[in-house]
Amino acid sequence: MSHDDNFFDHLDEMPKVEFIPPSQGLKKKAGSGGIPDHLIERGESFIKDNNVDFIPFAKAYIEDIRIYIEQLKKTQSASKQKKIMHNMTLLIMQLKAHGGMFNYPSMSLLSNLILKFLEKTDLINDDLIKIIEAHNNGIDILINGKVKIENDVRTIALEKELQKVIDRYLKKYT
Amino acid sequence: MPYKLDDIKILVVEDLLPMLTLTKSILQIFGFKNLLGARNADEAYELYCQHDPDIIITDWFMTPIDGLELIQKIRTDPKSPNPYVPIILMSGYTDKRRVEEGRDNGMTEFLMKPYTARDMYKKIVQLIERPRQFVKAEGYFGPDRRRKREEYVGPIRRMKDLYNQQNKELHDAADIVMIPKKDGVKDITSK
Repeated sequence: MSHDDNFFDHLDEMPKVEFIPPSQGLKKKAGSGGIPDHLIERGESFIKDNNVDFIPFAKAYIEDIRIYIEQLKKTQSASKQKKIMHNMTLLIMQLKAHGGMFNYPSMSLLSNLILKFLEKTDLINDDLIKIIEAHNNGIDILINGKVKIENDVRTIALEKELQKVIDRYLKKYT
Repeated sequence: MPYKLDDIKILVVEDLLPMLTLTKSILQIFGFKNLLGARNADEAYELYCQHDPDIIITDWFMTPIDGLELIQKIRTDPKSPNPYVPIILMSGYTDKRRVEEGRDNGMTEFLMKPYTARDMYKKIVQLIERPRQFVKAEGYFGPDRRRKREEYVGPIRRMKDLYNQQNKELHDAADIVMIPKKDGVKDITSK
């Protein structure tokens, strides 16, 4: 067999990819024209004016975070620490996700700050635990003071403090 | 004339009841009438199989089965009535890595929480106006992960590259022999 006979064989061995054209079903049902602006505005007002009391949820989250912090302080096993961190991050993510939905954008702001930080760092040590504790205490202050808005002086002060300790940590360990 | 949303069936999956209620209410305000709600992935999958919704909006972090596992089941289970159904994945995460994780597991759109009514609207418009083609490959089945839809132009692009390369070589060769001078161009070949 000559060299040229099996020149294209490698093409048969390449993984096969099939493309399926997009369905137009939704477009056919909906037609065109969008959703009127006044309905979107009504949706915005509905979010703004909803009277769901998020505090019992937030309190439960920060209580669970507190328990995880204590567990984290006691455990030496790296795999256990990682699992605890994962569970704790999920709770902080809940505070970030839902605080803003239920009239506590201040809670979302602080939680987003620490969430971004935790996504960047793998190192678990006493300093990291202190930062998580500081965030948890900050959320406690927001709850007790019923501090809802982002530009409240207390929210701004807490945000600045938290950012400062995060920056210090990143400077020290990265 | 606005969208006709009466016949569009949406399944919302969210374990936090106030959030489920809020999301359904916003969709109702938009004009959707056919709304289903589930508090966990198992209940959601059952409703999905029974009602075959046009859109699914699901939260990511739920127990015991999370939103990603639900999406995988919808995309790959042989009993799934419509593996191509558009799915919006909601999450509080903002990290690019997380969005990619959702994308690699077959979501169609990502909606970051907290969201505004306009954010939700934009995602729905995206599903209606820019439906995604699907890709079936080894290890992946789901919406095309490339956002930009382009025709396959492989051979043409290669020809263009070759042409540009040859052109560049010609220019480079010209640069070797022609040295620009203040008062014009000096041809070093004619010393």
